Amino acid sequence: MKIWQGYGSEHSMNLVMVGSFETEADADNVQQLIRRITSQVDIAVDEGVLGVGENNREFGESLRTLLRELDLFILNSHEMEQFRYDVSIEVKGRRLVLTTDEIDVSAFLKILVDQGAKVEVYSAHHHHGTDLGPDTSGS
Amino acid sequence: MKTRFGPDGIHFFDRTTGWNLLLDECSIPEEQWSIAPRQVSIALTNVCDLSCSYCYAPKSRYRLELARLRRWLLEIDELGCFGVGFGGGEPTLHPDFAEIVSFTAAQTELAVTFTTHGHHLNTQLARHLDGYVHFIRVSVDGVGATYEAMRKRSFQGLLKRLETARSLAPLGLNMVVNTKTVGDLPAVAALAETLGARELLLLPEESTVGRAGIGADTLELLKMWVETYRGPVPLTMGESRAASFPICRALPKERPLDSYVHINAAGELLPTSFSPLGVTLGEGTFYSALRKLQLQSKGESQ
Ligand code: SF4
Repeated sequence: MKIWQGYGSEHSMNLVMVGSFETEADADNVQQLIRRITSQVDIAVDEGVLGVGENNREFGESLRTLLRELDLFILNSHEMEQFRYDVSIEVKGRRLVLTTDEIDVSAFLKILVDQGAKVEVYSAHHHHGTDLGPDTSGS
Repeated sequence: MKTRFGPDGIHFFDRTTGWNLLLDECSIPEEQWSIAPRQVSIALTNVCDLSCSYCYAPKSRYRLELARLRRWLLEIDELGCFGVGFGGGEPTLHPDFAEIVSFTAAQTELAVTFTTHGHHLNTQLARHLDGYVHFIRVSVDGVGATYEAMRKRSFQGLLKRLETARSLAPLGLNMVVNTKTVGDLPAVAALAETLGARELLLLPEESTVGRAGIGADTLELLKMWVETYRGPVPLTMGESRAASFPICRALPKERPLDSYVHINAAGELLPTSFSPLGVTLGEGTFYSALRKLQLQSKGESQ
């Protein structure tokens, strides 16, 4: 049993992560790359190889093969569940813009840095008018 | 007293006192979980008469009209939500603000909270709100000159408004922490204490284009201050930095749409206040938009 006082919270994470690449094609490629990992993670979850909230110790063979093919050796198995979170990714010119309410975003950060992006991370609760996320102004 | 069933157990909530009780010893089958999120935040208007550096003058002048709001509020209540938080822009600038608040308190069992810069909380508005508000959050980023530099409004004026707010409902202070405000932490905490505030919400400023953000040294100062603070006001932390601070999650199993959704001033239902993944509420019901949003976000994550 838990007991506490409070009126919920009107504050969510509203995280914005922006990776700026040299070219639009680079940004597109990284979006594709994230999509491929996400689909493979989905399959691994469906197959029962990975779980969310399970502190995964294993990638499973197909995911490991894909990461090897993508030449991505920076991710660990615990981070795989991040690809199942509610994260939306958009490419705006040379910028890849990721928005989410999650705090565990290390996998995406690592990928962006690894793929040559200059990365900015902030909460849209505090920073408005960047054109990278709808109006979140609040008193 | 309202009750919700969810992945964490049976949750009771009393809007008058703000007490929550969670029976997490039992596991509730998924088909019995409450449909609506625990909290709904509603941006009543995009308009604001301040121009804080970490906000921006809204590009749109959207605002939600009373008739639609009434319908949604009744529905949100019926679906098992615990409370609504009105925000904006500056919610007190909505022409029907007092009526929206009194309607919600009188016609529903929802807890009524709102976030404000406070400068319109005069005695006339207070009279209209009296008895209808359960919690007020006021933005106070520092005291005296620090506050005035950030918000470009008189601090003495704010103190008067805070007294008014306090006479209306329990109070929380929200503070954006950065290099300029960090030195004011003890003073804001002391103010919170004097006011008998229920909570001090610390929001470390993040870095972004054109703004340096809190900086490692300032964050360290904030951490040290949090660790040594022994005052009576509970501290809460903006989630972006929460991981490096001691916090407890009361409902760890909640999925995003179980805990919170946002209605923006343009009448869109969003999983968070920034999300591009929105559903237009239009003249339809809150429930149908919520279902759409649930399916949409399920599709997205697959
Ligand atoms: S008071 Fe709030 S809504 Fe108004 S400009 Fe400042 S941060 Fe934005």
